[in-house]
Amino acid sequence: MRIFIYIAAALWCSLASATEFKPDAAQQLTLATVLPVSAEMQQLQQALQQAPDDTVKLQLAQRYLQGARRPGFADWFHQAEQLLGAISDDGRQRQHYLLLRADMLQQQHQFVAALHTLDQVLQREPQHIQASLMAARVHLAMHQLDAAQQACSRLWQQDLFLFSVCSYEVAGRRGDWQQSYAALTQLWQRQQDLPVELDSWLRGILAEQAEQLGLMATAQQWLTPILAQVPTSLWLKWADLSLALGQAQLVYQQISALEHIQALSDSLLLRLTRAEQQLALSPMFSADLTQRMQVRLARGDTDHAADLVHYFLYISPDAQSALYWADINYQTAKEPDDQRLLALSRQAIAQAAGAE
Amino acid sequence: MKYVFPLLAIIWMLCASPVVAHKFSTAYMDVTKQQGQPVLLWKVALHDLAQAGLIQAKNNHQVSWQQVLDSEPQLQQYISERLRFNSAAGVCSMQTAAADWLVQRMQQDTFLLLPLQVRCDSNEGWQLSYKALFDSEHSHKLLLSWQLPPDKANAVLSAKSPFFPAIIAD
Repeated sequence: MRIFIYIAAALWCSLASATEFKPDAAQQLTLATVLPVSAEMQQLQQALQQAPDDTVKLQLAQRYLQGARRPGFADWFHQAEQLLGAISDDGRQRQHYLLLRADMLQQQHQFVAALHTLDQVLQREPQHIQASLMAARVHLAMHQLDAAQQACSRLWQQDLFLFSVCSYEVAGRRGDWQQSYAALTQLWQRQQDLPVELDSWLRGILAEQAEQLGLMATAQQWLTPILAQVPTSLWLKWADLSLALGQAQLVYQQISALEHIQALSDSLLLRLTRAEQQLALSPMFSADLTQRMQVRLARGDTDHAADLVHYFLYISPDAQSALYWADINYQTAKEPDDQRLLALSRQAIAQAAGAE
Repeated sequence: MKYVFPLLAIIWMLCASPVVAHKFSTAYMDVTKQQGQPVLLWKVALHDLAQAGLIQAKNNHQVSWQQVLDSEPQLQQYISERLRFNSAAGVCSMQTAAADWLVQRMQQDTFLLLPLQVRCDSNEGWQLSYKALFDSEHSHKLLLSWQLPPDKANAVLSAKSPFFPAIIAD
């Protein structure tokens, strides 16, 4: 019955949200937000137009996949998906293709398929650094800690620094937050001029570990200095920490100042709307968010259900729905944030029962 | 410590959990009845049609209305291959005319509204089969509003369940 109501609401939105019109022949219609590509990507696009070569497709797909992590750039996942879909049968045997394919799969929460794809790389080259790191990441998402450590251990003879970071992240997930945090902090302090990618990776883990230790302000401080260059997932972590610290104004300012705000992912729009609500501002974003959530509910998608848990916990409180989606989310994603959403939903149910 | 681009790119891509949902591709369809025949209104994102190569846009960002109108033969062909309306007497004919097309802005996207004229030889055993865009848009689904008594219903059609009604009543 409930799904019927959601579909009806989504269909109603499709009717009520805007009026239909017949454009003039020359009128330009928007297909997608214009997202600026780098000079390097432009060169690759031009090369691809001249010759549809697998190597160029893979290079461009990698840059789209990398760029798609930036706030407002999620549409690039589709560009990457299309490029990967156009790789020849021979090209699909390449390690580069398999790594990008695995990344695409794990982004879609198809963790088992991602691991299967990575296995194809690791069978050929058991100590492959990128494949090992990605496998560790996927095992962590599935809370398979022994397997994650095994993946980290493959880095032992390849790169001691990467092995250490990888292992301390796993150790934290085993509950050794205090020791891992201290060791990882020391490791970070010893590094000079870390490339931005490595710095972001370390700071993301340190922020998670500090949060688990209850050091919310410290956790936020790990991310604040690099906010302009981190992927959306770390923006979300920063926004959640900031909201927990009562800094809704800061969250509102930072997210609403992002470029391409009209293309924000549902997850960032959720944090922005939550900040808007906490500040009791006149609603600018909640209607868009509600419409997006109604469509997702109507579609019945179970991937990335964490967004729906946030929606039912904070934007449109409904403890039963929050728990329903938290359970679904936890069936695929089992990271500390997913565990926390489950606990918060159960807490909301208990509170609702207590209030009756 | 020296790290090269592919490794750093992978690390950056992995530096946090995969928590961000991609944009979902959703189309809508209303099915009503006029003068004893089904009338369909398909609302589909122009972006999705361009991604499927059905509209020849100059770039990924914009398309002129004339370019959309010029795609009528391709779209007509695509519809005849991917959308099907059946009745107890067999496959019904289905046509769209660019002159009837409209545009609507919804959910940050531009949607094309295509009325589909259907002619069936029987008014029994009506069933829609929808197999559009699943190959070009991994997440594509159709939100269907079936307003044909007595089976008034809302449904979601996907690559895994492309028919409505799923089973035809005897």
